[in-house]
Amino acid sequence: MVFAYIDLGTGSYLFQVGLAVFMLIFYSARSLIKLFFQYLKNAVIKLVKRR
Amino acid sequence: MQESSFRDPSGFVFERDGTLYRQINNVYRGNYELLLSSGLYKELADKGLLVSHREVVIAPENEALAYKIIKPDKIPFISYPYEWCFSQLRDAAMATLYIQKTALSRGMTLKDASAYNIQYFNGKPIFIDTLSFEKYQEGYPWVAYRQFCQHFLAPLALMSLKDIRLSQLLGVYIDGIPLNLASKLLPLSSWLRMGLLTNIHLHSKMQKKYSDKSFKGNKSAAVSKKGLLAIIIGLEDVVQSLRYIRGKTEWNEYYHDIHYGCESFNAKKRIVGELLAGLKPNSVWDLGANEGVFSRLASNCGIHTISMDNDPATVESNYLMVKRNNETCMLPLLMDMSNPSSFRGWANSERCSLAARGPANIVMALAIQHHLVIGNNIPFKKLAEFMASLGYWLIIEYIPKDDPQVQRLLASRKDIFDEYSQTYFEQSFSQLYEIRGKYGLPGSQRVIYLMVRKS
Repeated sequence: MVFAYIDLGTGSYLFQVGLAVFMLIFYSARSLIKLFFQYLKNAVIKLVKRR
Repeated sequence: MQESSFRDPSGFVFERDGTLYRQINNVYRGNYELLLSSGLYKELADKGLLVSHREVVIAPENEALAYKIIKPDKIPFISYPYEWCFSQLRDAAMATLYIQKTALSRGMTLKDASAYNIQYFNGKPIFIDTLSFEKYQEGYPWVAYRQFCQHFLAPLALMSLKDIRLSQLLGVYIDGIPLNLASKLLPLSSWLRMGLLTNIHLHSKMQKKYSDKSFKGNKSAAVSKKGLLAIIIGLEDVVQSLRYIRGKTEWNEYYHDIHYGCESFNAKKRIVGELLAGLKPNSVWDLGANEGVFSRLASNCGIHTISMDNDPATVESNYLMVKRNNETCMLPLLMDMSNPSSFRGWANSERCSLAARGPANIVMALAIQHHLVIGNNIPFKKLAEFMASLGYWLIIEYIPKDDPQVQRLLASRKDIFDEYSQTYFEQSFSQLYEIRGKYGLPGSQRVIYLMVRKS
């Protein structure tokens, strides 16, 4: 791989590869958790309204 | 060639007849054309995030390499990251990340993320290196990731979690604070914050592990565009989460604990305002400006004003006020007048000293002279020489020895300042300046002088 005129460094390169995967999983999981809580909230509101 | 632009083979900045130009070299041709055709330049320039330019036809500085010459808009004053307060550095970091995200959406990427590529223009951060964009290639990591962490994330984390004064490390480490140093200096609690744990602590460990191993990349070590965006969003989250909690410092409540009468203070504002209105300068440097009360007398009249102080908390307050009021003529900067910014970087010429960025039309030195003379043992003659190196006109406040502020400075030390008198002050400054006016402040023994440099 040809880098630009600044040095990324092997450590930073490889770290970025792992971090990208981790961040994708993290944000996907966070979005799912947010969706789950949104669903839970809506369900509770519905239940309260029915009663 | 400007001494700050020699590192990038894509082009360089040069000055001709007092105008600044940028030569774009043939090697950058494809990327420059993509920058324009992708709409990235227009989008960023329209949003005030990238310096605007126009192409000009003049003889290139280096004909053998030249593709085009552009004339960028002039930035009135070049400042450096080690002169910025916490929020200025944080806003610069957020602007860099936003630019990188926008570039990715247009098929380009930033090839460097140096804090020196950001300047303050009209009160806002602006990216000044038009040649920092290159075509994005799927699978490639962000080559400027390490640089972003060193230039922005590490100093911000240190300022936020350890000590605000650690921003000065940026002046020592011209390519950003090494991550292993930042990792050592940060408190243990920073290991519990995901953004800092990953981008600083683990990143630094990885750098150490692979410090002497070469790697040219392969397919299994690719970073997808989505992954790259996730890293950028993660960086935005961690930068935004960092805060500077201001404690009470010696200076940030200076005007609340006002130590001379309201009458004197109002008279001082009136006198300074009238002097500025009479001189109609195009630039003012206010030394020891505190939160910029007197600087605003100039900037509110459309005069480009640099408001300098050595207290990070007051510079922070000043900058937040600039942001709140959308002030466009004011630039607050962190500057210790007893040790102002010197030439730094390669061959001591890459980053300019404070004086080399002048001269200003007017230098204001209100209620700072006694700190330099008594607090730092600077003789009046040396003070006059320094002031003369910064600008043509000088508005300076003389504080007599029996003033409570001078007495406070002398409370814990021996009075070795036999020559500290108004007569000697006038004699010393008269060697370099012509005194044009003397204005006593009612209710105090303080005197404001208007002087003009003799040559």
